[in-house]
This record gives sequence, structure tokens and C-alpha cells, in this order.
Amino acid sequence: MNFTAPRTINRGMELTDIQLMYLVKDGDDAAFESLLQRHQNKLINFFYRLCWNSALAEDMAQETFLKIYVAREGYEVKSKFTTYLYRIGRNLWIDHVRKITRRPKSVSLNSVSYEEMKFSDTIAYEDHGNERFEQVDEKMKNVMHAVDKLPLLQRELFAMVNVEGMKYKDIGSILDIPVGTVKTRMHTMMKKLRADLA
Amino acid sequence: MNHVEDHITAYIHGEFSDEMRQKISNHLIDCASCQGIFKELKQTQNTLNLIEERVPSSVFSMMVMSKVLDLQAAEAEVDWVLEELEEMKDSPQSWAATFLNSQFPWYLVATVMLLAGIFFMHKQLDSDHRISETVVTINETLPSEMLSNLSPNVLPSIVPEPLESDEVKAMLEELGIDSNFEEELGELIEVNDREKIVDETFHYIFSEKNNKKSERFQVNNRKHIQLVMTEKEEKNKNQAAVNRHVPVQEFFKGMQPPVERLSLPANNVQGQNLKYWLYSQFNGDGSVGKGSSYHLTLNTMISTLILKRRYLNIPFTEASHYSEGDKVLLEQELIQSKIELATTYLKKISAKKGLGKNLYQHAQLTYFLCLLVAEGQNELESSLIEALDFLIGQQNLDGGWSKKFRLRKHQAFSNSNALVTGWAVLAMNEAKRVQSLKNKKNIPPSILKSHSFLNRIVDPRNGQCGFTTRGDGQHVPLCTVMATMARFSMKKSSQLKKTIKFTGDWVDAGIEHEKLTFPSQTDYDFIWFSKLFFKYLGDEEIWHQSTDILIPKLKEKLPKSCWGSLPKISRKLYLELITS
Repeated sequence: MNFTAPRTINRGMELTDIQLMYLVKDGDDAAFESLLQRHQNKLINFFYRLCWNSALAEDMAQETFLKIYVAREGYEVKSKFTTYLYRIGRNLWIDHVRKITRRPKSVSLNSVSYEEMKFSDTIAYEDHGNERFEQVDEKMKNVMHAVDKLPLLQRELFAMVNVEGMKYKDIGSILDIPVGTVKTRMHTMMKKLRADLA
Repeated sequence: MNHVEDHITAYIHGEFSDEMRQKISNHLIDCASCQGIFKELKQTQNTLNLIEERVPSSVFSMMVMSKVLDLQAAEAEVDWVLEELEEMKDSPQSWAATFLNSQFPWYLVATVMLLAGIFFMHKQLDSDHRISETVVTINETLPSEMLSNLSPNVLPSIVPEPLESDEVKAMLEELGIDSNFEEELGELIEVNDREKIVDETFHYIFSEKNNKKSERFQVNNRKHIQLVMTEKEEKNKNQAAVNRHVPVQEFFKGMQPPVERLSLPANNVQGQNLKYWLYSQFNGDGSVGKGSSYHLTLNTMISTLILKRRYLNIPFTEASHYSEGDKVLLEQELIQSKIELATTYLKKISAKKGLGKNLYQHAQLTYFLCLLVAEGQNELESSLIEALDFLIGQQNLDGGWSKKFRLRKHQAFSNSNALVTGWAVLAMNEAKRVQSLKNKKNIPPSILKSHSFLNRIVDPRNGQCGFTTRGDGQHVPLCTVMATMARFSMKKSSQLKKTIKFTGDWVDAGIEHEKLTFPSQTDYDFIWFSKLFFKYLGDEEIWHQSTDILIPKLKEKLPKSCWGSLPKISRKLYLELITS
């Protein structure tokens, strides 16, 4: 797909994400602010479901937006804007998890498989594990613990599908896997949660 | 149809077309086993749907946008470095030309060193490291990494030496990271990609900056304010009829001047003393007091204002009412001569390169200069114009002013400071009132620009200011008062009501001074600012209330060292100006 930047903008019509992104590329800060307003809630909720920690979720969302801003000059339309946004967000999250993961002394970064890792393996889980659940009731606590036990890859699926309006097709393009695989993994994830919550 | 167990999750998530959905739902009616699974999964999904949606904190987008501004500033600085290098390259005589022609990517070295510089400055300032994030430690090794990657011979003396392992260990301990040091180090060594380093440094500078100190400060004091406010409300309920303070002007309207006012110079020993004390402080050249040129100038300006406002304004006719007219006339001549002496000193000052040591001093002095010109010292007009031009030239891209003088065009874009900006805007608003400066065309756009900055630093939750600016977290009340005055004078500001309330709360809290500890050095600033503030708001009552309690306290403090770096004379003058 190759798009040319929309130079003329129809006032009164709401601009699409991609049009806004092109405006950002041209140095329009207000356009960036609109993008921010449009996507901040969902992105923060996405990160919140990954870590159950509002402050961390906001930090991660902020980093994601800043990363997009820094890379604005090289932006080209290859997919939906949300795909681009969540891919960057996801990469940042993976980096973050690697940073906070405990691992044996001699093992290097690459040998830790992100797919198999659970959030309960991380330092953050031990440090803040109990604080995070202070303000929720017993039932929610169980749900949160069950989600914490999911492997991180499945947890991403959980987070994405529970962000409003995210379809399997979108999730597939963010994770770069076919829709069929998303479907299978989603089903595995749900079965696991069902077993834990039963 | 075969069993649909594998499709059930997707069915629950609404993934299929209508036709397929129909098929599956038909099957679910018929097949008990699939229906059982469906019910369980549906129930699980319903439980998951109960998870609360997070609403971003109200400052979230503001924080991001402020960081975007920081990024822009940093990018502009990098551009500037590149431009400068280009220019050096063009001039054949330049020493750098020989190096630049030699295929070595110097601009890259310069850029990276600049970033390292910013990083180190930042690191020294920021003591609030986050414990859980090893980004902190990753960055600690950056300078040495950069050196080894770029060139071992490039200016080794400029980049600081890497820390000893013991020091790092101590630092880690201080931060509460108890894990093995070598283990941490193992992960650091892997960061050797140059792009990644630049990237990480950028990232570190602009995303790790959280003004936590200020947050804590605000939270603590907000509690105090609430406490004070509730107590005050209760008190007010009980006292329905409070003795209202009558503003001075109204009190005098249409009646003979009361004895108290005119007898001030004659009978009031303190007032008399002050005047003679002031005379004694005049130096031969017309300056007042001692200290640096800033202090001398400030003292002279304040003394002139005090003399003019307090002692010169007593009309002869009123004085003759007490048959002391001759005395007053003589007295006035003396005062006039002192004012002239002071003016000769002030006239000598050139404001082309700024007054004082930094922009805070410059903006403050400009404000006083405006006051003097507005009160009829027209000889100072040329210096005022110079000062204003310099002030406008120092404005940052974001509309604010930083504390430091900017010597080059592209330096220091973004350290805008609420206090300095406040003073600058006040000065320019004051200048707008001066009749002869009305034609100056660069003042209104500059005020307009600062408008955006001042609006940006308001915390929409309660209207306090100074949240996103750097380095002034300690002075939240001051910043708020200052910024509010500036914004108030511009009329069209958002969240103004909230801010005014916040400031009012602070002043109320100040009235109940026992409960709050202001940063002691800024006590006098606070009172002075709030005095100005209520002058702008036109609410004198609350000002008088607060003055009655706070001024004696300040007077107690006068001889002690807690009045900041101002010499004793300046402090006394300041106080007199406030009370006059």
C-alpha cells in the first residue's frame, strides 16, 4: 500500500488516524494531541491488563506515544494506525519485561523465551504483587491472579481482546500471525482461565 | 454439523459472519456438550468483562505534550550543532575544516557528546531514580560505551571517567537494588549498538523525568490546605458578622483626612526613622545599600518607590490643615533631591545585555523599572525599552522564560520557569500601561506566546501551577501565585477560577501560618506576591487579613539569615514596600 499525504483537509469532517499522523509528520502538534486523546484510554487499558498497575500502564503508554512522536518523520502507511501503535507498545512492553525479569547469572538475554515467560516470574510481580490488589474485591483478585498465571503471549491476547473494538484480524496483524492462529490461541487462553476460575 | 468447541471462543468474541453465527447457535441448541462448554466460557468472559476500565489521570496528555516540547527543543539543539558544523566546514580558514574534510563523522561525535552532556546534567539534578528500572544503570555506562565505539582518541578529557565499581555498588545499594552487581553488569555490556545508545539516552532523558519531589510536596501540603479550609469554613459559619475591612480609598471619600494618616511622618516614630534610615543608605552616586549590582539596582528602585509612594504623595493642602505645611514642603524638597540622585544612578544602567545575573533578576528589575516609569520617572524610559527588548529576545519557543540568560540563539529552549515567566509577563503588562510605550509592537505577541506556556503548566485538577516545569517544584505556591497573576492580567485564561481558588487556599493557609511551613527563604516573596495578586484581583480584605498576621512574623525573621540571599538592607526595603 502506498499513500500520498493528504494535503487538503476537509474541515468539519473528522480526520482519520492516518491523516492526523501525516499532519504530525508535517509538524502539527495539535494533530498529535488529537491522536493522543483518541487512543490514550485504550492503550492505557491495554497495558493495565498486562500488568494490573495503573502507574506502570500510564508510563508505558506515555513511552509509546513519545516513541511514535520521535519516529514521526519516517512514518509510512503500511497498516492501520492502531496496528502501528500497538506494535510499538507491545515491543516496549517486551523490552520492559526483559528488564524486570529475574534470570540465572550466566544466561544471556536471548535465551529467555518471552513466549513462555509469565508475569509472575518478574521482579515487579514480587515487589508490587500484593499492593496491586488492595483496592479490588475478592472475586476480581481471583481473576487477576488467574490472568497473572497466563504465559505472557496469551496474556497479550487477553489484553487485546478485552480492549474495546479489537478484532482477531487486528490482533493477528499486530502479532504478525494468521487469524486462525489467533483463534486457536485465544481458545486455549480462555480454557485456561476457565479452569483457573472454576 | 460437527462439534463446534474450537469456535466457541471466537463466537463469544463476535468474530463470525451472520451465516456462520446462525449455524453455530443452531448447533448449540441441539448439542448438550457444546452448550455446556459455551455456558462456561461465556461465564468466564462475563467475569472478565467486570474488570474495571482505567481512566487516564487528567494530566496524562499534558505530560506527554510537555515531553513532546522537550523533544522538539532537543531536536532543535541537534540541528543547531549540525548547522554550526556545516558553517565551520564552509569557512576554509577554520581549524575544524581540516578535521571535517577527513571523512570522520565528527558531527556524530558532537551530537553524541551533546547528548551525553545533557544526560549528565540531568543525572546530577535528578536524585529520584526509580528502583525497579535498570534503565538507570544501563545509562551509567553509556559514556564509556560511546567512547569505545566512536574513537578512543576523541577528547577523552571531556567525557567523565566511568565510575568505580565500588561507587556503582554503593549507588545501587542506596537505590535499594540488592541484586548482585556483576549480574546487573552482565546485562549492561550487551548494550553496544550506537543507535540504541542514542535512542536510549533520548528515551531516558525525556521519559524518566518525573517530578516526584514536587508531587509529594503538593500532596502533603494539599492535605494541610484542606484541613485549614474546613476549619476556616466552620469558623466563618459561626461568625456571621465579621468586621469588614474598609478599603482605604473609600474610607477617605468625601471626608476630611483623619489624623492618623497625616500624622504618620510627624508622630509615627517608626515611619520617621525609616525615612532617615533610607537617607543614610544613599551612596554618593545615588545607589542604595550594598551588594552586587543587582542588589544596588533593586535597592535603589525600591527606595525610590517607597519615597515616592509614602512620603511624596502627601498633598500640601492636606498638610496645611495641620499647620505643618512648611515642614512638609521642605521635607518634600529633600525627598525630591534624593529621588533625583537615585534616578541619575539608574540612568547609567544599560540593559542591553540584561540586568542582574539571571533572567529572574532581569525580569524583576524590569518590572520595577516599569513601575518607576509609570510613576513619572520618564528619564528611565530608554533603559526600560532596552530591558524590554532584551526580555522579549530571551523568550523561549514554548512562550516561557528560563532562569538562565541565553547567550546563543538556539540554546536552552525548554527550561521555562513559571516564576521568571510570571515576572516577565507582569513587567510587560505594566509596560502596556505606560502611555509612551503603547506603540511598541513586539510586546503584545510576546505576551500572547507566554499565554500558551502559562496555560500549559496549570494542573487542571486543582489549578496549581509549576507541575510540569523543571526545577521549581519546591515553589508550587509561589509559581501558582505568580503564574495566576500573569494569567489574570491576560484575562482570557482557562482554569483561572480553579487557580485563583488554589492560590486563595494557599493564602488562607498562610494566614493559619502555624500549620504550614513555607520554604523559609521564600516567605517574603510569597507575601509580596500575594499582595500583588490581590491587588490584581481587587480583593483587599483578604490581603489585609493575611498581612496582619504574616508581617510581624516576617519582621521577627528580618535579622536572621533565613531571608534568602538578599542583604539585610534589601530585605528591609522589600518589607517596607510590601507594607506601604
